[in-house]
Amino acid sequence: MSPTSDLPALQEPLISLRFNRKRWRLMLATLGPGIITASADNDAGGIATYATAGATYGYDLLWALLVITVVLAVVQEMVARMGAVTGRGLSALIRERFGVRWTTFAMGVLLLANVATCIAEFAGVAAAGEVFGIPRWLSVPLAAVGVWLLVVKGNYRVVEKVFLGLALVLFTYVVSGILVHPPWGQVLRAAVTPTIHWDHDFLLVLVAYIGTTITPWMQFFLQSSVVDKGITVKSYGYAKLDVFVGAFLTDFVAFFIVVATAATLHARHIHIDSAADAALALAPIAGPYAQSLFAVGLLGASLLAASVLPLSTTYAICEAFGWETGVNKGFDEAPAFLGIYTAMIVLGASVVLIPGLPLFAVLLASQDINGVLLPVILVFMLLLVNDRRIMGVHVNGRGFNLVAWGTTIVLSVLSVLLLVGSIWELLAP
Amino acid sequence: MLFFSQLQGLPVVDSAGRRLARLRDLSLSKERALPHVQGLVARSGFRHRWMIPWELVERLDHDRVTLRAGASLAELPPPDERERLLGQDLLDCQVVDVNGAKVVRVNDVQLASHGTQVIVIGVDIGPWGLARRLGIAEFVAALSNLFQFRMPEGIVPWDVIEPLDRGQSEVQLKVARDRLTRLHPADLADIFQDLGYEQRTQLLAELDDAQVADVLEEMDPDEAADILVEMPEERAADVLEEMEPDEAADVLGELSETRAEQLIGLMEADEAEEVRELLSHPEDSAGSLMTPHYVALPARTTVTEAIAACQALDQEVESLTYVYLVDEEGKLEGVVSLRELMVAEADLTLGEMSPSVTHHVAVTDDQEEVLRLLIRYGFQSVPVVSEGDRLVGVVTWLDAVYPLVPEHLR
Repeated sequence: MSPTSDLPALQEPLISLRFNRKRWRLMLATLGPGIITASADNDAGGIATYATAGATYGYDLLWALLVITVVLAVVQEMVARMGAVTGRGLSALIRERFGVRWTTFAMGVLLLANVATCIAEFAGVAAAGEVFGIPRWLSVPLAAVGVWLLVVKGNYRVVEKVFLGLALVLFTYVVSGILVHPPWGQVLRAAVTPTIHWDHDFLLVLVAYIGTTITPWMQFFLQSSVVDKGITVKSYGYAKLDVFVGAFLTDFVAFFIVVATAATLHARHIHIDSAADAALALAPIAGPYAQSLFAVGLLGASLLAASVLPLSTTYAICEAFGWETGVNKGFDEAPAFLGIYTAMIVLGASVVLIPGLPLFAVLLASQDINGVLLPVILVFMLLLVNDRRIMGVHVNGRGFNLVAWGTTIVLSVLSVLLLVGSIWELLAP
Repeated sequence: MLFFSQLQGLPVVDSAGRRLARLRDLSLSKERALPHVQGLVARSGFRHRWMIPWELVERLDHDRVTLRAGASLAELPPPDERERLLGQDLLDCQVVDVNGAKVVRVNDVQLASHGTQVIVIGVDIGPWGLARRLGIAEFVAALSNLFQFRMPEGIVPWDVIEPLDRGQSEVQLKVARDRLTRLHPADLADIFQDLGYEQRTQLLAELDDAQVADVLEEMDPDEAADILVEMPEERAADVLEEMEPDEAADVLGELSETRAEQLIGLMEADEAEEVRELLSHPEDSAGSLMTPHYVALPARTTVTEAIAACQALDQEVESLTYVYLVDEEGKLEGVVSLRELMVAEADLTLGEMSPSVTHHVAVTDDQEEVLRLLIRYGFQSVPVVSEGDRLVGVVTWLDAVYPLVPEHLR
């Protein structure tokens, strides 16, 4: 008499049945944090900036894109490495290493940059809506409420995939960039020849160009994703590859946006003032449907970023200050979390509702703000990644430090020049 | 009330009132309960740092630290790397509030004088701590008075705080974490989810296999799988052996097939076989929800014998609500609830007590069928049979309902 049962002996291992169903999930899992971050990076602000760069300066800014790609790869690898080595988010590291005052400063910078980006996402929604004749006082509040409800109440994972799918429409720029038959010789020459225009407008586009490709929020988002995925030093080799592929993909699409707009708009001296102008660059592939195609892509990219960015910013801030987080907690349980999240969306949407606000100018300006604030975050990152108490033997090598510190210094100088220039323009019109 | 933020940065003066340095940090004694201040780390300029023993301190005022007459910084050593420093190792770090079973961040540290000593009595995790560190506490106090808004205090007494990070030697860590390891597995599971990789690894090392198994059972299978892959394979296999086979199967189901096979290969043969059997059934079928641990006895067993058999059970049986009756081939013949067993005449046999029909499900039946039986007949668990009506497992009420429970309630 045995109290527990004796199990029948099994002839062969039969575990495959359950695994076949899970296989699709594994395929999704190979889409690593680096690649996801990269696709969220080509948001409304990014598209507007690349399109403006191509339309205004033709192929002149392509060389900068190549430089930025290298810097992007270096910077993203740094945060991914920090995430893998420490198992902690960037804002937690800042708090533990620099204390409350510096943390407040860094989080203030992050919040400022991201409110600007948030405004850009809703400006993207408004611009896309206007293509279809939907006024912004309707499209923007609808998008704001929709995104808020989606994240707080809804099944976010599913809808995120829909947005990602919509945003993929922007890959048509790659096809368009090829179909327009750009003068490839000239394009390639421009890509390796540094060209600089010594005027304020060029500086404005250049800083936005950098600021939209390497954004402050991406650093926080990527490091947290690496931590959440449980990537450790041991499995880090794969993550590194993922980060590099992501950096390449971001700028691959950006490259073709610049080429397509340069070949179509710059050649005909069309200056971009609206989504309809930017859509002209898609005419070679979509013909009369170019505007609709562009608007759908812009909408997807804007909504994707609008649902990811305020949320990840809020997580970073709450992590730094030790505040309760979680979307399914109420206002009484996680007041700071829901408060900051809601405020970002409300603020982002209401700025866009200001009547007569030039949407494309706002999109560009928001990326300038990101570019100006990026060096601040870079300095924090560099101090952390070179701290042996935190990183042990995984501190930066000399080459990485050279690239990263070099970028920080150059970008700081550009930012100061831009600020001085902007004040000058304001005072002496 | 005295807070560390109020001391940090105070001038350190000699008995004549001459300024020597500024206070940067406090060195703490290494005992677990109410550590006291052993010394001050003082700094002057960027290069000069000293460790001033507490014995050389004459008095502590709100605006200065006065040293005893004759004390000279010149003879003092710089701070030792191995010291446990309050500002460096505790302030801004994450600690566990054992009462609330939450991971929190230290905004400030509360101190109190105790005879000639200064001891740590609590940590501030609330908004006031942040305000003091930012130097805006008075401003915030004025604002909260003006608007009649009460900000929460957020001070947690030291005796319910468990530090998480290194900076202490191994042995002390073991003793210090004792209370943490005795938390309910469900609370520990919550804490695990708040921790970073390294802290998690540290904490995992302090729990035994059975404890880790209990914690993983409380998590969602995909989260448990994430933690499992962070462990060395041998340990992961040991933990899987300790888990309920149905839970272990769920977790393994989240891994890649090769990885799962690898871990199952490292498990003891008995446990490995149970898990394999469960994994062979499709997701959400009765076969995948069931546990192979139950009580089965022949129909001729008397009540006294049955109770004795139940008392002799080991820990492995997750739920003991029914005794199932089986023949020599393991064919399901009947069921008696533990309650019926407790109140029955001692010499009755189980066969005489069992109802005429024993409701059961087949391994291939889906979750809906399991739930239908549970609800229709008010069972706590349902027996599962395979070919020839052989009893192979039971699905408990909780395991059947669990997949339907909204995520935030799990």
